[in-house]
Amino acid sequence: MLTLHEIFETIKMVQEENLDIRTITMGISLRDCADPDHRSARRKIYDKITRLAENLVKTGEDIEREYGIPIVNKRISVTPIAIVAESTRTDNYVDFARTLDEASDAVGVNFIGGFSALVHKGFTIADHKLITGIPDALASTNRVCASVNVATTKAGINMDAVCLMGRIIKETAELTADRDGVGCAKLVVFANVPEDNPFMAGAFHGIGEPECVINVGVSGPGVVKNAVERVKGTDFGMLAETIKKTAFKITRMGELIGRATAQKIGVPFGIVDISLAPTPVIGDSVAGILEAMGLERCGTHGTTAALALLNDAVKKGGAMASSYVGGLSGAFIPISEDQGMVHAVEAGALTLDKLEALTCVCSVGLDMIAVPGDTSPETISAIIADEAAIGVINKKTTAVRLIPAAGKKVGDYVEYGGLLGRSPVIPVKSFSADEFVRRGGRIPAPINSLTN
Amino acid sequence: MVMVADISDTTIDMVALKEKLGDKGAKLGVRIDAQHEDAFKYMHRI
Repeated sequence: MLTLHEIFETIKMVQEENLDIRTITMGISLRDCADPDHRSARRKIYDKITRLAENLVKTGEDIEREYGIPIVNKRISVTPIAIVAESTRTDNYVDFARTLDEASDAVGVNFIGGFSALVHKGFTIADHKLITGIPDALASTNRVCASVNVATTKAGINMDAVCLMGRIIKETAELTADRDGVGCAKLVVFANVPEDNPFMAGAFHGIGEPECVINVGVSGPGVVKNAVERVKGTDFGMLAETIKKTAFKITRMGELIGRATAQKIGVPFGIVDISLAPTPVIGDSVAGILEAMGLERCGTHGTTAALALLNDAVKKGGAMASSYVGGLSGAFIPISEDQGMVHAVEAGALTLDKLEALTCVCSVGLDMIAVPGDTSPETISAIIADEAAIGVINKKTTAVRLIPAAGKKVGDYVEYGGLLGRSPVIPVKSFSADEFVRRGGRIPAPINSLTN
Repeated sequence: MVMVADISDTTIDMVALKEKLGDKGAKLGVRIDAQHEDAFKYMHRI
């Protein structure tokens, strides 16, 4: 029998602490949509997505009402388009992005991920066509998200891809300059990318995935923050234990909703991604958790240790709560999507260097960070290379989602509203890395990749 | 006040029930919530 305390705790989490399911993401394989004729390939893609995801949004809404747990987003991830489009006789992959946009519009999801290429060891011709089409694809669509994996621990870092992505990010920012470079908010450069990530903008349906699957991303920074505040002044053992237990409960909700959705739609349940995903809503902040642990401002000395403790405790609780934990599964530390991070930057406590350090102990990387519009493509590439190195050496996912906001300087703001939020433009180093990033080729895989 | 109710033999679905209880609560000057038992069970029991 449930206790009154347990019942009230659950209700409080949902009603007062912003507990929600951040996303249910349907992964769809498009490998059988390949066709030499690009029109035919695109028709197959449209038909398959609209057929499989026809009831995704409605099912999500039904489950949301039935269980009383908000499901913020319903989304789709697809096979990397560079693979699907490879056999078509066309140089224009942007039309594939438009098809994805139309299909996602038809089924009512707010984002579709998979305008992607995996180039950690080198480019195919199709990979190159896709990547060079990213700026136009993101400028001319609303819902499509793009990602490029430039490095793995096993392959090393494809520096040609890193170099190219610096230019692609710049071009994307310029093509969407009238909207503060929002195209860049839909573009992620990865190292060690997971193939079952339900979170945008980096979601795609990996090549080892089944025909169709439901993956779930949970949320809950507000719940964890309140739990941490309740154990103020206790030692680290109690702090870690409290976070662990809270993460367990949050993840159980994800497991429940994921399984219910998969069962109703009639596709397999994939994974729960246990990442703590902040939103611009007051209180729903990862920075807020770190500050509740006893830091005056997120970004000050001690922040890396606090984040390491948080991330580890979340994983321990989450791993006990779900049989299938996957995706990114760590704390997200975006700037624009987290009010506490924005305040920490404004207060001068949080810098790009500290953010880079934090990515050593959490899941994603340099996320939703606006940098000056005159930042060179080479500097962006160098920042990507640094992140990729952290991921490759530490056998973990890292990523970069930077917005070189055209015409903006340090102290200006980019404003997106909604989940993407707003962010101050933060400084990058003024010294050049041009000669380094232009050397060409691939940084070899590290010695710790030789595990066989 | 907490009540555990079995609605398996009723014709009303969870969504409609929540709305009706919400309206009734507003008239009585209290907040009435209904939540699926599974949400509590899943969160607090393995």
